[in-house]
Amino acid sequence: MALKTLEQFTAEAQTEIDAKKTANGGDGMFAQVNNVRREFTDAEYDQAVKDSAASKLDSQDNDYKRNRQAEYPSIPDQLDDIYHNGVAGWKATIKTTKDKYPKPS
Amino acid sequence: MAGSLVLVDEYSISSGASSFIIGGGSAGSSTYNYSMDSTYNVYMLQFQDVYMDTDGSKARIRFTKTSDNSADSTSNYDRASLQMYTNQAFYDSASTNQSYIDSLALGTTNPESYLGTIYCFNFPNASEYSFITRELINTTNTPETAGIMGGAVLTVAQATNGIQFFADSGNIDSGEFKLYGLKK
Repeated sequence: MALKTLEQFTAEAQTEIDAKKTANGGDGMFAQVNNVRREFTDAEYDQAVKDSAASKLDSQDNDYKRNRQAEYPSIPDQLDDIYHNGVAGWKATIKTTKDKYPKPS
Repeated sequence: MAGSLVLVDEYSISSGASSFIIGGGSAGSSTYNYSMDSTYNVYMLQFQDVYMDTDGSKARIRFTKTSDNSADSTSNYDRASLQMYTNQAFYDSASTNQSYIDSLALGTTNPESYLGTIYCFNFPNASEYSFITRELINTTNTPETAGIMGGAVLTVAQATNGIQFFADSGNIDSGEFKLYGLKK
């Protein structure tokens, strides 16, 4: 699947955020100000669209890195792997994680 | 030294919302309307029991500008941290030029929440950047337990006066926040 652009994610986010507005029948997004819960202003809704689009883009571009980072064995375990199984064995171990979380393209 | 921490703002979330501000003057979530100013050199924010209404969403932060009390959402936040997990290898995490300071994903109950301390430096200084250091203990929605130590900076020379917590999705359903000034 082709990578999406920020503009495409912004359009997606705009649709999602618009649907959340109470004026459109949604549950609304709220800020708590001076001990009063009020619905987002237009500017805050616009910011929510930008935030959501940025999150979607970041997730698309970087989730595979974070997932790999979290799953790679610790450095001592990797060194142990090399000692016992050689570099080829270590590469096989690392490849398992890389294949599980492929780089998006 | 007794009495060195002075409580200047506090807020407990009683109903979920997407955005809360501690400090931040008239935009603050409490009725204190406290604005971090030069009364104190350093401010300390302690928070606990922060969780969401949407599993896997995050409570991110921004700084609020003294000029209009709104959150600075420009892409000028840099951060770096060490994330120390109980069930996987520790790793470094960093980013530059983001429009917020990120956190780990949270769950929807207290056992999948985060708590911690943020120290705020230079916030009232209009000619310098605003910095924080933070220490968090976080149990993610997975759940995995992680300690986070690190820092972040808003690379804009301006006065800032509060910290906004906002959900990347859904609402922040719970949280207790206390902001202290460190007596000079």
